[in-house]
Amino acid sequence: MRKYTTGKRLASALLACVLVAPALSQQPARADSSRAAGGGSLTVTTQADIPSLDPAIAYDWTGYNTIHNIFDGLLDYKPGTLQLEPSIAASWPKISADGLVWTFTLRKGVMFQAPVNREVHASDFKFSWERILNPKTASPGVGFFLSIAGAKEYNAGKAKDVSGIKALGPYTLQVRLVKPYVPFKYVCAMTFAYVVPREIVEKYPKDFSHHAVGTGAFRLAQWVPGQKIVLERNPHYFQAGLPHLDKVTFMIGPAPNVAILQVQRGEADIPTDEIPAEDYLSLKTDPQWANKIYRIPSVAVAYMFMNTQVPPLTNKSVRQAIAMAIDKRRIIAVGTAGLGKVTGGVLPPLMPCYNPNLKTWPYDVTQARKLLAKAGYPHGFSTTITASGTSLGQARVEQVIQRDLSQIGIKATIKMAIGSTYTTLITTPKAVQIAQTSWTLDYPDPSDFIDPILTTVASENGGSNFAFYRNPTVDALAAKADQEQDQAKRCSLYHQIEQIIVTDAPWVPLYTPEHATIVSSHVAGFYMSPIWYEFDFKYYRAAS
Amino acid sequence: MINYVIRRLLWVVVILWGVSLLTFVVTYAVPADPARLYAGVHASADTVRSIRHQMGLDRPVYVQYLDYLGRVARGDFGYSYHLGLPVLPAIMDRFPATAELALGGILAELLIGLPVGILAAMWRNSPFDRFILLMSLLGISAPSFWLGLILLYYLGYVWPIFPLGGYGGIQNLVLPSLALGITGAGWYARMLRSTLLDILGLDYVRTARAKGVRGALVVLRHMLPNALSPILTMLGLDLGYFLGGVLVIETVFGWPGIGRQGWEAITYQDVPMIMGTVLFAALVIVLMNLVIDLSYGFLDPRVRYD
Repeated sequence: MRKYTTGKRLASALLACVLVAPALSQQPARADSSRAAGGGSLTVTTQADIPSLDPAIAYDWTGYNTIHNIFDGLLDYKPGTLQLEPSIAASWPKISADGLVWTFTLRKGVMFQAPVNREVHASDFKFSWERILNPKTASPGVGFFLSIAGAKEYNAGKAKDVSGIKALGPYTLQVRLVKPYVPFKYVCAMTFAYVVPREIVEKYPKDFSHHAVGTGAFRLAQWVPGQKIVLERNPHYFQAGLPHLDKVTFMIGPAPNVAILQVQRGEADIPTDEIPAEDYLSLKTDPQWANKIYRIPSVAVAYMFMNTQVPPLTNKSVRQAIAMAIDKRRIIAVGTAGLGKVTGGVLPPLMPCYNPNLKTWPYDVTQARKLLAKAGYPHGFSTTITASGTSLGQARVEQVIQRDLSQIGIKATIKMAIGSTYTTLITTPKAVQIAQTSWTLDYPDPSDFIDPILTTVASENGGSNFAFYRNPTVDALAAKADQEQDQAKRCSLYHQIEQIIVTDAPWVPLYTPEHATIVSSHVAGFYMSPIWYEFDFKYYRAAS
Repeated sequence: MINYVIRRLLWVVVILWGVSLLTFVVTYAVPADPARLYAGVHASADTVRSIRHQMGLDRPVYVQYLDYLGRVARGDFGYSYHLGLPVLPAIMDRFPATAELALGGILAELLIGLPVGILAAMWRNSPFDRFILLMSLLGISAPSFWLGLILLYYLGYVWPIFPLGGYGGIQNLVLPSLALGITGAGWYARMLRSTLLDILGLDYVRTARAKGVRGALVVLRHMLPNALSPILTMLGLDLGYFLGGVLVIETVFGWPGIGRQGWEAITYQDVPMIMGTVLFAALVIVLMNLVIDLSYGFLDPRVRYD
């Protein structure tokens, strides 16, 4: 434990620091991995407590970094990329010509961690996936598995098991789909699809989370709620040579700005929360830390949505006028300290089928005023922007939007609603007129940015189509794209979908966010992933 | 006295019932859907509907409340939607950290406020007295989160005397206790100064001085015991309030107390945890008030309990 000095001893320590500091500042910007040895430990910070380590339940960004390191699934993403590769599956699945039958061959020798200590078999995957679909589990991931034959019946309590999931042998898992579903490969890489041991689930039916046992590079050694989570190396991990670290400790509680101070003081190595915009600006200009900042574009889109069911936003020309009035460059500068890139479309640049030739609405206040007048509102109108108040940056963005709207005569009042109320309001028809939010990928397939947020079915019964945008042409094209197995044809369909949506303007896509963090010199081999788990601890090392 | 205590304890049950009803009604009046928050915005509407049914949230509100009361009577406060943990053990796990912070805060208030208040009274109208009044006003006015950040920055980062937040040994407790206690210390100092000045002119004090008792002894032995009554009241209120969780300080310092847990429960509309936290805090406050009321009898023999 670090000792803390006072009085004269502090003065001496400060003097020593002043003398030594120039030498310390000569350290390389990124720790040299050739100096790194195996073993060692890292300390990471996270402000919010992790609600669950149960792969069937966890559906939040705080848990992903931990869950991904304790559990594995059939498929996983290549480090730092959006490309899939086999994980517990020994090879890429055999897919039948009609796209309905997926057959996975499992690796031999993949072991569940202690205290289970036995090999993973295909029946374990059947158990784990049926557990998701069991209504008693109350898993948020049910929807991702309903493409499997028999899943709906099982979920409705009308079948004793999921007929479409079969363990043909200890190492052969066969999955039959209801209809071809191209994104299914990504479902197999989601945390919901990670394999769990029946023995532990049955022993702790209500609290598997706090007794999590998986197959991953690290095992859960200790969890003190609200304080820390300790992961220790799994000595029997199936990927030889991994992990490099002996231990990763998650310190729970530090606010993001305090976490940065902890890294700078050497009390922590990696802050997993977003760097606040103000701190990012000061780190950028700090010569000691400027070259220790890591940035990665996210596969996400920040957007402003307009409720297409509330007049006058029902009028397409009004929405198009608003789309031309928003100064996105200013929003990035003011709201994100530059951590973002302007976008005019729904799909972010890293998403497959991204269309660089998409026709988007330019920033043109004069044209916007003309279009609004032509739409019958020469003097503008009054509206409200519902704000969630989750961050200072978001509040600034809403103020910029308010200002931009005023330039074309629209008087927008900002109304605050705290997190829980905000989420309910934006899913309630006609409760919200304009609001700003973002959508981050579940998996890198364009269907993930269309089906759950811009189709008619997603606008019903509290779905995530917050603009309540309903276009039967988009619905039909999206359904066709879900089943199209030719990638070029698929992308062509998504180009059409995206162009229709941008033209109809239920949204004003604002920017693609970038994630940034700093790491201490103690970390070697660091990189950030563009997928939802940003930190892949099994590949990191502790620098000597 | 026993009858008095029994009567007060019976009132505790009535008060807690009233608190539970009010909290339940307010929680359900807020337009927030716990099932949607549990499932996340990415979950489909059908999934959310199924989860709502599993949680029992599609039952009439009064049925949910009566079911809750019945379970609480059996000692079952339910499971947290957000954390997946049984509510009462989850609160009790955090209580030691909250108790530590509460006691640390009280200690800071007393160690700073009492001596300062006494000295200010003894040297009334002196430059020191005026300085103390100004500092106590600043202490009362300064928001505790701002105070916490300043202490963290200067005493944890610029001059790393203490850790940058977190929970652990005594060294982790100092800064959050100071942030919590400085504001209260201002109140205690001013209250004590004012009470001592009121007592200063009383006959028994003049008699003690006339008998040749030294100034400090007059204050400590004769005046202070009689001046402590309002301080004791404030102490009880403060301790009860702190023991219910101090969200702002816990957030600034990453302290794993009940306050932060309660705030997360509100953010996620985690009804069982909200109810459990509010009931627990109410119980603590009510019991602390009872303890303080009973302590008056020890301080002042004239006090009787009927």
